Amino acid sequence: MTKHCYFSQNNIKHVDYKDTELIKKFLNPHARLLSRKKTGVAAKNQRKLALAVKRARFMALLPFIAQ
Amino acid sequence: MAKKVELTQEDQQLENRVYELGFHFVSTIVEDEVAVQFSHLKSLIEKRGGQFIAEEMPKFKNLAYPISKTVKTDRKNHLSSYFGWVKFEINPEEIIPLEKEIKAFGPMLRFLLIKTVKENTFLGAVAEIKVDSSKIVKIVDEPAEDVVSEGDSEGSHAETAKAVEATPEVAPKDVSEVESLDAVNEIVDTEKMGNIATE
Repeated sequence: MTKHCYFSQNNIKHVDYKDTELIKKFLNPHARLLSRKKTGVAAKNQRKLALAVKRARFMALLPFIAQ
Repeated sequence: MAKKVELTQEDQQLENRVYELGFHFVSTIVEDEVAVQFSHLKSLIEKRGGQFIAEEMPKFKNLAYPISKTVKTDRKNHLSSYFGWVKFEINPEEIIPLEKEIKAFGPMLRFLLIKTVKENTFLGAVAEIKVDSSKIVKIVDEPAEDVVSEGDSEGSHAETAKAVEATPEVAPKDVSEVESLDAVNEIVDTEKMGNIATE
């Protein structure tokens, strides 16, 4: 099964930490970042996504842990 | 190594750099005063030669977790705040003193100062984008071929979108880029990503 990167497909070059609705799609119910294996995100974009998640957590836009 | 390369590029260009300041004001201030405090904060940036690119007024927001702030000896937990952001261009030498000023700013609960790009990266909200009007006129006056190259080199989606509106002869590659960007918001709302998340 081939997987495609959401960010590459939609030509998103930068992941903004304020885009919490977009970032939430890549988090599990515990607010942990989903693996590339599950989402098919390219390695380069996964790194950008991870940085955005960390910034959003620091700014209390996303929780560090959620039940 | 990467840092060294960045420094040499800066030295060569001697140009301003784009930064973004995201911040939370404490929710204890009166709503009418938020705009006043926001303009005070902006004046700090302006004083150091900052040029504004885009901004969003602070809006009331519930926080994902409580943030505590200590004023003198009084520690208080905040569960809500006014969150806003401003994107600006400034000389990199000014950023450290500016950061100190922002840290000492009265109603500040928490802030994040990051390096970013001039183009709009925030897809989720309708932000007021201040694009240099003189630049837009220049793009329209130039032939279509030049418009494409300029749009590609800068990669500014907002400017590209405006260029497309103004000049319909723009190459189809650019148009598809813009269309795909417009489609992003629609796709985000659809169940497409929901499926991936539950996979």
